[in-house]
Amino acid sequence: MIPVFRLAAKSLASRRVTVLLTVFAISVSVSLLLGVERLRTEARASFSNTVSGTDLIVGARSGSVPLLLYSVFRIGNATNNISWRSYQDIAANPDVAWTIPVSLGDSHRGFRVLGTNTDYFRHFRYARTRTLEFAAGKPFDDVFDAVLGAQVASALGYNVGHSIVIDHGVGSVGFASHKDKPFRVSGILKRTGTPVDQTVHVSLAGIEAIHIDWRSGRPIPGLSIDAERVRRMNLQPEAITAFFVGLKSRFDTFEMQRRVNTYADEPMLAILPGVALHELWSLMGTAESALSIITIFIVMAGLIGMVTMLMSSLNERRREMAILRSVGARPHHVFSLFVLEAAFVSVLGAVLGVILLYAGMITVLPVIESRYGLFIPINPLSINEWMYLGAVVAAGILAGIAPAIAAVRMSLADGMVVRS
Amino acid sequence: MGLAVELNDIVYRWRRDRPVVLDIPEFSVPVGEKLFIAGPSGSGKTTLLNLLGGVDLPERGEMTILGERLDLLSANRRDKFRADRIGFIFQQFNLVPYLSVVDNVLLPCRFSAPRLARASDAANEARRLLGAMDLPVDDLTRRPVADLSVGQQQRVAAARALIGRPDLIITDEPTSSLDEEARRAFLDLLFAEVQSAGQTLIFVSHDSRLADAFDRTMALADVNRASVLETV
Repeated sequence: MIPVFRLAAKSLASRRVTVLLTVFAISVSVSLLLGVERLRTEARASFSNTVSGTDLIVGARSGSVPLLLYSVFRIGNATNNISWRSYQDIAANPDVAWTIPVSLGDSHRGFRVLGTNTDYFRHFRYARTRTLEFAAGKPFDDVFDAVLGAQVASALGYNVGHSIVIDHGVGSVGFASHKDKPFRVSGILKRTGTPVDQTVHVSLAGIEAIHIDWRSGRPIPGLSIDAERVRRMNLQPEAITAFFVGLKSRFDTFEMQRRVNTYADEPMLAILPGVALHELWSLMGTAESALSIITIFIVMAGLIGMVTMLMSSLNERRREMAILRSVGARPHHVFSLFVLEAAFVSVLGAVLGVILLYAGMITVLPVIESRYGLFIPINPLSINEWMYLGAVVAAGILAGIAPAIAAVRMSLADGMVVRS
Repeated sequence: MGLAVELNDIVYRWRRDRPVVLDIPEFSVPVGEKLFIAGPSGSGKTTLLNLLGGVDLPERGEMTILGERLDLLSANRRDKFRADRIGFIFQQFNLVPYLSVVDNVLLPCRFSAPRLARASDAANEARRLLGAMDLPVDDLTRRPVADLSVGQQQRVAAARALIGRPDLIITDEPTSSLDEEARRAFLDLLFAEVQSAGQTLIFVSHDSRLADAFDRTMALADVNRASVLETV
C-alpha cells in the first residue's frame, strides 16, 4: 500500500486539470448535500423552538394547524374571535397557572401587530426554556406603548422613543391607518430566532383604543375620538383572537383540552403546541425528503464523473501498468493504485465541499437572516454531517473499485509489454 | 558455474484453441553470461520475456530461473520473485511519466524489500547508477522524465533495472530507438555495470550488429520449434 500511496498522489498531480475538475464537481455536490441537510435540521430546530412551555393554545374553533399558524407564526388570519368572558372563565380555572391573551389583525409596515398583556413577557418561552429579554427599554406601560421584535427594529431602524403608526389590517400596504393615535416604542426585544422577532407588541388596551371609533373595518364617519380622550375610556376588550395556557401540572393537559373543546357557551379549540407543530412539520416532510433524495443523486453524479475520469484514463495508462508490473508491482498494487486515486479524489472533494459549505454560509446566512429573519448559527460539523462525509468518501472508494478491476484485468492481459 | 536460466520442453500458446507460439525443447543460460538472442518481431520474443519474468506460465514444461522452479510458484510468488531478482529494460517509453528521474530509478526498491536492502542507501545508489550511465545527475533529478531524450530515458531505465543488483537483467530491444553512437555507449555502460555486479544478461534484439560484443549469440528461431508467428 505504501509504495502505491506515493504513486497515486503523483499520478493525480500529473493530471491536475482533469482531477481538479472532478474534485470540484464532487465538492459542489458535497456542499449541496451538507447545505440542504443543515438547512433541514436548522429549520426543524428553529421551527420546534418557536414556542415552548405552553401547554395549550386556545382559539376559535377551526383546525389545529390554522390556529397554530396564526397564533404562533402570525401567518394567515383567525376565522373568528373568542369572547373575553370565555377567556376569563377558563383563565380562572384552578388548574391554570398562567395565560397570555393575544389579539391579532393589525400590522405595521408589513409586520404583524400583536395585542397582549405583560404576562407575555413573563410567561412566554421559546427554545425550550428561554424567556424574552429586552435589548433596550422596557415592557409597554401606557396604552400607546409598543415593544418591537428585534427584526422589526433592525429592519426599520427604530429605537426606543420612536413614534409609529399602526395600519388597519395585515396587507403590506395598509389601506387605512390609525394615524390619529400613534404609538411610542417603549422597548426592543433581543433576537429570538422566532416569529416574535417580526412582531410589534402592544397592550390589549392599545388595540381596543385604536378601534374604538371604528366599525366594520372603517372609521365611523363623523366620530373621531382623540388619543387623550381615549385614555379615560373603558378599554376592556370584548374579544381576543387566542390565548396561550400554562397549567400547574402537565398531567391536567388532556383534561383541560377536553374542557375547552366541550365548553358550552362558545365553540372553542384547544391544541397542544408540540402535537400541532409536529403535524405542521409532517406536511412539509415530502418536500423535505424529495430535496434530500435529489442531493444524494447529485453526489452520485459527481462520483460517476470520477469513475468516468479513471475509466477514460485506463487506455493511456496501459504502458504505465506494464512498467509497474515489470518492476515488481503485483495485481493488488495496481488495484490499490486506482482505488487510492478514487479515495484521494473523494477525500479532496469532501474537504473542498466543506470549505465551500462554510464559505457559502458566511456569504448567504446574513442575507437569509436580514431578509427572512431566520437565524442559522454557523456551527462546526455535526456527527451526522461527519457521517455524511464518511459515506461520500466510502461511496467514492467503492466507485473506484470498478476502474481498479478493469485496470488489473488489463495489466494481467498485457503483462510487461503493451501490444499496440 | 550454475545456470541462471534452464528451460525444458516448454510449450506455450495463448489459448487452447490457438496455435503454439513457443515450443522450446531445451534452453539454458549460465550464471554471469551475457547472451544475445536474435529475434525478429513475431518470433515469440515477447512471450519468452513474459515467461522468464514469471508474468505468464507455459502450458507445460519445466522452467528453472535462478534456481527456482517458476512454473511451480503461485502468481503472487512469481511476482515477488520478479521484483526481487530480475531487472527489465524495454524498447522505449520505459519510464513512468509522472515520476521524477530518481523516483523512476527507485521504483523497484519500493516493490522489493531485498532490492532496497541491497541498494543500502537507495537514493545515493540511484544517483551513482545514473552517474555510471553517464547522465548529468544533478541536472536531471528534478526534471520530468518527458524532458529527456530517448537515449537518456533508456539509460534511466537501465539504472532502474540495475538498482538493488538483481541477479538477472533482461532487455528487449533497449537500443532500437537510439543512433549508432548512442547504442554503443549504452551497451558499454550496461556491460560495465553488469560485469562488476556479476549479473547475468539476456539481451533480445533483432539488430544483429550488436551481437559480437556478447559472450554468446543465438537465434530464437534455433531454440523455438514453433513455426507460427506471434501476432504483435
